[in-house]
Amino acid sequence: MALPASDPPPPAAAATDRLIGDAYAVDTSRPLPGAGGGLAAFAASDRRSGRGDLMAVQVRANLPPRAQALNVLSMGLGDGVLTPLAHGPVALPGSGAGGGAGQAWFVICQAPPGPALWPPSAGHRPWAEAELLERLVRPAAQALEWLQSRHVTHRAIRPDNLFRAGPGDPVTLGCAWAAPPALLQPAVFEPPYSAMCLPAGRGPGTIADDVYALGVVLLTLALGRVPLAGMDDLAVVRRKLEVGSYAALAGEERLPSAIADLVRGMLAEDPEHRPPPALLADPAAARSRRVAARPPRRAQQPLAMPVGPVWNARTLAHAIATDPEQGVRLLRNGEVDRWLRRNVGDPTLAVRLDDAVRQRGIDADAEDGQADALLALRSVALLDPLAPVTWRGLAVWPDGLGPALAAALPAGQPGGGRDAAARDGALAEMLAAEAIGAWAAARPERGDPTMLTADAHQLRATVRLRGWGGGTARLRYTLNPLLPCASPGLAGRMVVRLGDLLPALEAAAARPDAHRVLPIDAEIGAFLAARHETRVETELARLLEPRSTEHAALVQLRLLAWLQQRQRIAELPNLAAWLGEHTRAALSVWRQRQRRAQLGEALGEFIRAGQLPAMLAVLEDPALLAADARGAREATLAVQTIDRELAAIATGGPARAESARRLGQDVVLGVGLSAMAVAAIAAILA
Amino acid sequence: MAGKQAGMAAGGKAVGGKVGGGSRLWVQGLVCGTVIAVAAPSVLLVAVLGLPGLLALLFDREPGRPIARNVLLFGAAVAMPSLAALWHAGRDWAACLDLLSDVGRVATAWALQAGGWLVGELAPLAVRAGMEATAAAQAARLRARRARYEEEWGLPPAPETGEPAAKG
Repeated sequence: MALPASDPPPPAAAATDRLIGDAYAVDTSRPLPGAGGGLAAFAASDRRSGRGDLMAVQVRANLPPRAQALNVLSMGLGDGVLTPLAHGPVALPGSGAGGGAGQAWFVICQAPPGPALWPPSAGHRPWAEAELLERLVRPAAQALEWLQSRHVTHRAIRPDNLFRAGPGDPVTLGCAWAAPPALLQPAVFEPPYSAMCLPAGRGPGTIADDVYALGVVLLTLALGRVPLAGMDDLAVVRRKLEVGSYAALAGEERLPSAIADLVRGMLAEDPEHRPPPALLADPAAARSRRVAARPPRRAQQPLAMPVGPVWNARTLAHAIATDPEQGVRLLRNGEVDRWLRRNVGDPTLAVRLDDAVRQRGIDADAEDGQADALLALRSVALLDPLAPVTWRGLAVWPDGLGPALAAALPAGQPGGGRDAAARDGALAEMLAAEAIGAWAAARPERGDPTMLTADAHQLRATVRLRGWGGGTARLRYTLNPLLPCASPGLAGRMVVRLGDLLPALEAAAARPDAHRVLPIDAEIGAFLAARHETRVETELARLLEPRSTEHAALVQLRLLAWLQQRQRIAELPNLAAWLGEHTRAALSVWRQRQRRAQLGEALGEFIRAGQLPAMLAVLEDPALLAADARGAREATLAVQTIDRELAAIATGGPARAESARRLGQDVVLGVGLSAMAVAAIAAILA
Repeated sequence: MAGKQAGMAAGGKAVGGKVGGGSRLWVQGLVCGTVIAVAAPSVLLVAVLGLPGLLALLFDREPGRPIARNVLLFGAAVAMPSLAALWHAGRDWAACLDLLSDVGRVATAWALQAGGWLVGELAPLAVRAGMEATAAAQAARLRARRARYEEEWGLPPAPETGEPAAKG
């Protein structure tokens, strides 16, 4: 078993100090090999206090740091553990206005006091019992006790992440905050129920998992070598499940009796049976603590599975979790039932599994594959209540779901790929099936199923939300508060908080090629929905309505204007120009040309001023729009009346001719009568 | 006597207009015969002076005979002074012939009747010209209003319908 290699340092760059939180400078030209516990680390300093014994650990893409631990531990320095001080983005060398390498997220913490315990500089020499107890177990236990008092686990205890200033000095736990919990832990240092999970999906676990890892470290240093070295992770897990962790790792090794007793307790299969850190701080007391655990029943005859012969219930659970199709086949044809009754002699477990198989018939309204996956999940939980949630060959702890989703970015995204997309799809299906609730219900003695069922229901509702405001993308950001937005439109800028989004879009808008599409894409939509308030969801749903581009642009303007107003950002001229290009067409809804021209001029002014809310006010004035529509209707009616009158004039020629004829004749008649009357009067008077 | 007969003849014609059918023709004939018998010089004078009107009455086939009506009205107006002169001169044949021998009188009477005919022909044309001008002006005003609406609200132009006011 080889310990994981550290991230290689980035290409040599000019010595450039970069600040986090206006205080911490990161010198990316001074890498600290091996100091980051598997992650790239660089020298850092505190500009305010002048303190220089700091390091900056670089966060890997799609593997967010531990937000809760960073929040809690940044409040005070712990003894015996490298505690985080701050975290934030830093521009990498070579990045500039044009984008370039972009930014990276760093966690600032104390630098290690000396080299890591592994690989040992002076050869693989077993530590003496006293040194192990006084320089390893006691200080590590005190550090774990301190962490436990803050409800934080370490989850990165392994020899290459334990440091000490020199021989005879106590060890210090390394940095474990810049990556998901236990991400880089080799299977040998993890309890089997954690080792079998996706690396990013192991979750923070409990302090007992740290005790387990410390027990393996203790064993490693006592032996002078890493146990089970050379075995792959799957084989390590199977070995541990088959014979128990202590037997698998210590085997027939000769250990001092005190160390052997301590390690046996620390490697107990049930986390509740391991000594707590407070007890470990007094190794003598911890050694004397014995918890009677019933060994797993070993079958008289193994059950043949594709992964190998299965000898007990836990290895059967692991085999089903690893190869669910085959496992379900054996469950449904009764082979597992017969094996449990005849070879293991556990009819109670057989009956419970039989119930699960019958439950599968009830689930048959779901599609067959999903019903089978649920059967496999319930069976694994029944056979091994310590096992995590398993789904289609994946295993994950519910509290590790967020990082697991982040690591499974879909293909096409930075860091994503076909396998990652398949993992994302499987996790989405798992959430849609409320598998976490089914898993919790199958092992009620290991956790509160009510709470987990409610959580599963909520997760399902989010996954099934239509549009950019739902799905696994939104969950990825909801469950990972420090996961940066993965939108390619942000040109490498780290957008972790909602407040980072507009400045990043403003910077991205400076590139003219960015203007071809709208600023908000699916990733930014999911990010907004996760870091938002509820009102954003409606707007995000509208983005998927099959309407015009200007409609989508208007919705995006509404969202971003709301953000600008809320965050009180004075001006965003580039972003305004970007949106302006797509929203100008929205002016066409105005019918009155003069007003449209006036609004166009006003819009141009607000674009130059970078005022998104003012732009929105120009484009969306309901009262004026209603008046404009009313005016347009009235104009249309007036024009129709005019057209009717013109048509009447055009077709009224014959009628006018007839009228003219009659009128002319009447006039002449009148003249004639008048003339006759005058002549008659004249004749009479003559 | 002749003038009295002519006046009766005119009155008889007016009365005859109110009597319908064949009996009206008999009544008209009777009246005319009576008038001719009683006032033959006056009838001759009126007939000669109003000859264009009588001819128009013969040839005008329009309902209501508007041309003949106009010519007759003008003829009647022209004949009034001559008829008055005949009556003052004793209403006998000599006076009648004396009046009819005045070529200028006859020519004036006929010319005025021709003028009446001409006025009757031109007056409808003049009235129609006036009405068309009014319609064209109104159409122009409407088109201008429409153009303003088109300009202000971006409405489509009117379909091509030619010159509505100028034609027809």
